[in-house]
Amino acid sequence: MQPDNRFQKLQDDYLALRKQLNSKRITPAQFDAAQKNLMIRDAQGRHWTLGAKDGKWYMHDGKAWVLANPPIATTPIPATPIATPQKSQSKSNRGCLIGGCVVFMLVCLLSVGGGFWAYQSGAFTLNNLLNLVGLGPGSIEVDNFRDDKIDVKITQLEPPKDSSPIQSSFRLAAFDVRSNSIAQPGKYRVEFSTTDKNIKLGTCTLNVQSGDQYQFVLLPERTAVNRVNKPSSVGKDFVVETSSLCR
Amino acid sequence: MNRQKILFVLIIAAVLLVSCGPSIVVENKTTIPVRVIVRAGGRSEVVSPSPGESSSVEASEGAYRVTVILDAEWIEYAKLTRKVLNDQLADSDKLTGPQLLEVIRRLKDIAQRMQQFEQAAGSAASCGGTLTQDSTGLVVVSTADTGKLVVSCR
Repeated sequence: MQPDNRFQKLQDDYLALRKQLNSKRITPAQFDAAQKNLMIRDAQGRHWTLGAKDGKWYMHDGKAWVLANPPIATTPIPATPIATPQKSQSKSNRGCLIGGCVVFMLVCLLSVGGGFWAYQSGAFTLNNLLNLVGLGPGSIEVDNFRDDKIDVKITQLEPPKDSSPIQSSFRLAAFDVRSNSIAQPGKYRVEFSTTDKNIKLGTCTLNVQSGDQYQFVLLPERTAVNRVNKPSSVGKDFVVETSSLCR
Repeated sequence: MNRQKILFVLIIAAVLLVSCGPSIVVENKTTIPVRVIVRAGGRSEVVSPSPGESSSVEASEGAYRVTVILDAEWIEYAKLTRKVLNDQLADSDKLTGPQLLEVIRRLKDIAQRMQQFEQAAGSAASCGGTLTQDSTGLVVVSTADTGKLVVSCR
């Protein structure tokens, strides 16, 4: 084979590969692998190849590949030889962008739908939302696990100026459970007594913060207390008489 | 109007809003004691209207759900829980780590057990509705021909 034919053939092979790449019949990796085999040696023993990215002729000068003109004239290669793969990548990016938008819209729709369902079913309330930003109410739950009726009195200890303290009183039959919302965080006194004989069952002064959930369980021999959202790690804190929560 | 007056008006308005909030009245039209779990505004309560009488529960606006269960079932659970808690808290300052965790679990379990009763109840034993400001939900507990407890929300 004549030298000029070999240069032209290598260039033709390169263009054929690029067509395959452009039409996505081969992957960029396959293109790179095949392109590495496109190499010829001229009469002076120098190696020649075409650049994978720019399609220009390179000659190995014994140390490195350098741009050079081949010893014979070849058909010029159109500019931006790897433009199509880039365009393909751009399309891919656009596809990802559209896909991302669709996913984002789906997530938004699901969030709105889920939020609506949660609100309708009572699983999520306005108080939950307010608690997230520290403006929601606290709550005091009383579980009467005694055999007799009890009276519960909740009194706000440090009301805002020019307003009277919030008070709440209720009666619980044996084994009833009552939950009381505390709209204004602050100090509250909670008093327990039996309904029939007015026997004092304990008093607890609480510092109720937004989102706090206090639970009292009236037992025959003592009254248990727990801060449900942040339980204590000390045993005596679970009994009203000795609890640091009640001071 | 100075700031103190504005604050006073706001507080009065808040108190009025709270005091005029919606409520749920549960009427027991059966001849047996029942236990009714009322879930509203993210809180649960247990009331026990005597046969022929009613109990009232303060609630907040929004959805509510009511479930009726046999009185004996709830009392059995409550008595078991109180025995464990009474025993554990007799020497509360000597509780070990695992005992402390058991106490916390038992205390939290009360709310979870209410949920379990709600989930286990058949469709006839529970009903729901939506409360608006100042509205009152009327719930009637009765006995079906089959002898089972049924509840309706009006």
